[in-house]
Amino acid sequence: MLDDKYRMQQREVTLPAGQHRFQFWAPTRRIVDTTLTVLPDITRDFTLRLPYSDEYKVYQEQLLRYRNNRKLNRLLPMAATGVSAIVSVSMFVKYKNAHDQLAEDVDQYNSLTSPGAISRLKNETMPAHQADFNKAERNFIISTSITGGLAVLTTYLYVKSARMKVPLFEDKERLSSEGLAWVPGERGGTWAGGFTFDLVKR
Amino acid sequence: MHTIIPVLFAALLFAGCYKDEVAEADLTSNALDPDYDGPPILELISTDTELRYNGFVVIDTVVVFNMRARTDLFPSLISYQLEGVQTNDGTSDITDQLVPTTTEASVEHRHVLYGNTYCMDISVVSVGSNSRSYRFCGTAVQ
Repeated sequence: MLDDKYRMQQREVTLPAGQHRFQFWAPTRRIVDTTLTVLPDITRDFTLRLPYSDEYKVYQEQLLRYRNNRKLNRLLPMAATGVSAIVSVSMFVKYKNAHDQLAEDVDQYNSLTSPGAISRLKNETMPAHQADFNKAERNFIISTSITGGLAVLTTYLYVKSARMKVPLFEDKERLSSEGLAWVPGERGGTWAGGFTFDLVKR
Repeated sequence: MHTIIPVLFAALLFAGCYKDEVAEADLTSNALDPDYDGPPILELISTDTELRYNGFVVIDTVVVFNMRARTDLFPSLISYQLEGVQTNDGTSDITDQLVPTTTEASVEHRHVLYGNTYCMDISVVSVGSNSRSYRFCGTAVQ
């Protein structure tokens, strides 16, 4: 806004010498109200950095929190489920190896020709391998159950995170300024146009 | 995501279901297992009562147990021995090493008296240890 009268959208304007009131605004920025003095036949550079609006800072914080929460609700359970699945696969391999070892023991039993070796196999080796098998089976069931539980939890948290409300940025500064405005959002942003009707009778 | 998890879960469960335990107590099919419970691997062909001499002097009377070994029931062709343990005093008689194709051999019960019945627990010896033993009895006859 220039001199409370003109809405500047063009990039150049000719001003008479003297003081002029400028109100600068940009999307997500705070309106800066300042007065500049235009001197005749003199060129001066004027640089102004518009600070972010408070609403935008709050929005950024909310957006960061939202993204962190979503990551926490999605990536962490997924990672835990993935690790648990890897552990389950590892436990399954051990479980299978333990079973294969028992099957190998049975084959060995059928082919052994030493009664003493047969007795040692049945009374010492196979019970030890059976204990290994039972342990591997227990570990496999536990790890699979944990993986299943984590998978359910992951699904639940994924669905829950999908329903989380995405913070929206309402540029209140924009309301004070007419014209086309860029409103950033979760998936990019939108251009918004606004009008101010002065209904005050002069 | 929604599809992968149940599929993975089901796959793990199904993969785990086909495994089963092995019961050692059920393993009794090896003919050389001391717990073997299949067809007997030793059969008594006959018993004889014989005298043992040292030169022309009788030093002992024995009951000879003529045995047949069912080598066809063995897990493989093996060299083996037969050992008979006298049930009355625990002394034993063991054959020489028998080649795999030999199926008949004898063990003897020493110090017998005519008219009495004597029993021996006879087993197969393989790689230095004994299979299940079978009890056979015979009477010393003149």
